[in-house]
Amino acid sequence: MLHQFDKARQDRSTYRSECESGLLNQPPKARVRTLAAPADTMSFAPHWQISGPERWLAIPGNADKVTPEMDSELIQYLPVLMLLLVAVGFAGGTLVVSVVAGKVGRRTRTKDIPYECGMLPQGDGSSRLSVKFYLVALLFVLFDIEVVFMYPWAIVYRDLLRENAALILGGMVSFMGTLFAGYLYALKKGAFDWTK
Amino acid sequence: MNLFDYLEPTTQFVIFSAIKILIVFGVTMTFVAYAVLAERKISAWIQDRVGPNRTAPPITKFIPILGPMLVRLGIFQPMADGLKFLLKEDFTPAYVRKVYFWLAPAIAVIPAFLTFAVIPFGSTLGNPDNKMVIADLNVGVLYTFGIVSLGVYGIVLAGYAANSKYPFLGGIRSSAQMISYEIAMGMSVVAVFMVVGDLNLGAVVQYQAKHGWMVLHQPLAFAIFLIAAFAETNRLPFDLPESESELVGGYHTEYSSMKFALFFLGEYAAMISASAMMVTLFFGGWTLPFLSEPASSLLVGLLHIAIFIAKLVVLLVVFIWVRWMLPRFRYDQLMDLGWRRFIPLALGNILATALVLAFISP
Amino acid sequence: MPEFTDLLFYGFAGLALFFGFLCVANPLSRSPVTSAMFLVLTIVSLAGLFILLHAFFLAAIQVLVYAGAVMVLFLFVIMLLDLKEEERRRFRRFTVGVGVVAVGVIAGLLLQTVLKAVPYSQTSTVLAVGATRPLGIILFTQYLLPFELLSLLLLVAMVGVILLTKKELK
Repeated sequence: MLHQFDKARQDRSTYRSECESGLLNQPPKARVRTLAAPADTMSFAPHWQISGPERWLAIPGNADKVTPEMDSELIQYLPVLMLLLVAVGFAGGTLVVSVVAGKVGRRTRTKDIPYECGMLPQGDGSSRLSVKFYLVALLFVLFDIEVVFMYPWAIVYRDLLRENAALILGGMVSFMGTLFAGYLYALKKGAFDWTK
Repeated sequence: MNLFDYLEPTTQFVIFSAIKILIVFGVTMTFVAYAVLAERKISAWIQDRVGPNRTAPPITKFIPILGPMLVRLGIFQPMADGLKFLLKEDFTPAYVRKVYFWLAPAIAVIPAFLTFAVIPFGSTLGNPDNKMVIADLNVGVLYTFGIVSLGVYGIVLAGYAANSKYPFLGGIRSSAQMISYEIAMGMSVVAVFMVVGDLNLGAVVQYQAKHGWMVLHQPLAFAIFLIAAFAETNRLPFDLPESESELVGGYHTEYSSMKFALFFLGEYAAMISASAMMVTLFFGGWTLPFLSEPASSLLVGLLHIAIFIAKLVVLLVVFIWVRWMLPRFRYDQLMDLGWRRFIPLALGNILATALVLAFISP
Repeated sequence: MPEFTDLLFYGFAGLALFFGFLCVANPLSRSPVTSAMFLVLTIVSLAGLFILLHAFFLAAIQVLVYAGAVMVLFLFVIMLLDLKEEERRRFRRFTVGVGVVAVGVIAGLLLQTVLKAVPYSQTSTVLAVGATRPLGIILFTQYLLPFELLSLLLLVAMVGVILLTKKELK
C-alpha cells in the first residue's frame, strides 16, 4: 500500500543529493514535479499471485493512477488527526450519554456544598500556592529544554562520532556540564528540599 | 475487494488507518475494563479475599459448567460497572466552575488514548506494507512525550474547576509530580536512542531484534523509566494526588457518574500505554529472540500481535502487583527521588553510554 | 480543486487565528485561566502548521515545550498569584504605549521576513531538513557555538529563578 510513498521518499532523497551537488538547476515547476513518483517505475505483486488467506488482505494498489497528494512522511500524521477525532468523539459522547441516560436526582442544599469531610466549608476553594510549586514548574521548563536538545544529539551521536568524536562528545559534555552547575547551585540553595 | 483495488492509495491508507484505529481503540477499552477487574482480583488474592464473584447476567444459568465458572471469575463485573457508571446521577454542584468541570474529564482521557498512535503492536498483516502501527511517525517518541505532557491539563483543570480544597491540593500536587518525573523519564530514554540512533519506535524494535533486548543494554535507563512511569500515571507508591487518607480523592473528589469514570479510564489507559511503551523500548516489542523477522504470513502476523499483548499483560500485572505491595511515599520523598536522585543518575547514564559508544566505535 | 494539504493549512491557520483572538480578547470570559487554555490551543494549531511544513521535530517540540511545559508554568503562576483583580482589567496609558511599540517592532520583523522569504513552492529542498536527523547534524556541526551559548542562557535563567524565590526558601 505504501510502495508509492516510499518510492516518493527515495526519489526525494536522490533528488536532494542532486540538489546538494548542484546538478539540478531547473525552474521551480519542474522541481516540484520530481517529488511525485514516476508511475512507470513501480512494481507490485498482483494480488492474484498471492496465495492463501493473505490474498484477501493483500492490497495490490494501482500504480498507474498514483499522484500522492501527501508524501510518505506527512501522510503518517493523518491517522493521528483521525485518532484525535475518535478520542474527542468518545469523550464527548460518553459525557452526553451519561447526561441522557443518567438518573435525575433532586438538587438539595447539602449536595451543593463542597466536600470537606462533613464539616461546613471554610473560606475559598482555592488558596494561594507555596512558591515551591512555582519553582518546580520553572526548573521543569529549563530542564525540559535541555532534554529536548539531547534527542537530536542522541540520534546523530554515533554517526558524528566517526567524523569528529571530540566535538560531538565535548559539545554535549560542556552543555550538560554548564547546566549541571546550575543544578548543583539549585541543590545547594535547597530548591529541591521539601521538608522545610 | 475488486472495488477496493481501484481506490487511490491515499484513500486505501485512510480506510486501513480507520480500521486500525477502531480496533486498537476497542481493544484498549476492553483492556481498561479488564485491567480494573484484574486489579480487584489480584488485590483480593494478595489480601486473601475472594474479589468480585457474583455478577451474572441471567443467561449464565443456562450454560452448564462454564457459566458459574465465569461468574466466579467476575468476567461480567466490568460490564455491570460500566453500565452503572452510565446510569448514575450526573451531578454538577453549584459551586464549581462549570465549563472546566465538564471539560476536565475529557481533557484527561484524550491524551491517554492519543499516545497509542506511535506504538508498533505487531509487524505486518497480510501485505508487507501493511504495518501494524497507527502512525509510523519519524519523531516517534517525541510525539509520545509531547502528548503525555498535555495530560497535566486534565488534572490541573479538574482541581481548579472543582473550586474546593481537596481537589485543588490534589490537582496541584499531581501536576508538580508529573512534570518532575517527566524530566527523569525523558532523560532516561536519551541513552536508549543514543544506542539505536533513531527516534522512530519501529527502528527501536528492529534494533532489538538484531542486538538483543534493550533492557540488557540499558538496565539503569529501564529502572528509571519504570519508576517514573509509576509516578506519571499516579499509581502507588506515588499516588499522592489521590491519597485517600489525606486528600479524600484528590482532584476527582467532587466528580460523580461518568465524569468520574473518565478520570479512571484515563488513568488505566495511561498505565496501559506506559506498559506498551516499555515493551517497545526495552523488551523487544512484538519480537521474540527466535521470531524477529517481519511476518511472512497472516498467522505469523497475528502471532506477533499476540506476543506484544502477552508482554503488555505481564507489565500490567507488575503495575498492579506493586500497588498492593508497597506503601505510599511522602511528598518530600517523592520530590527528592525525582529531582535529587534520578536526574543525576540519568545524566550519568547518558555520559557513561556516550563514553562506551565512543570507545567501541571504530 | 484545492489539494487536501491546502485545506488542512487553511484549517489550522484559521484555528490558530481564532484561538489566538479568543486568548487576548475573549468576549465571554475574562478569566486568565481561560486565556491560558486558548493559548495552549493556539500553540497546538501552530504545531499542525509546522507539520504541514515538514518541520516535524519543531512541531513535536512546540507541543512538548510550549504547550506542555511553558503553559503549565503559566497556569501555576496564575494559581500562585490567585489573580482576582485581573478579571476587571484597566488600561494605563504607559502599558498601552509599550504594547503598541512592542507589537510594532514584532510586526516589522515579521514583515521583513515575509518580504525576504521565497515562496514555498520553490523551496522543495527545505523539506529535507525538518526531520530530526538532519536537524541534529546541522545543529551539532554548523551551529555548535550557538548551542553552547544556549546552555549559558539556561544557566542564567536557572540562577535567576533561584535568586527570585530565595527569600521564600529560607
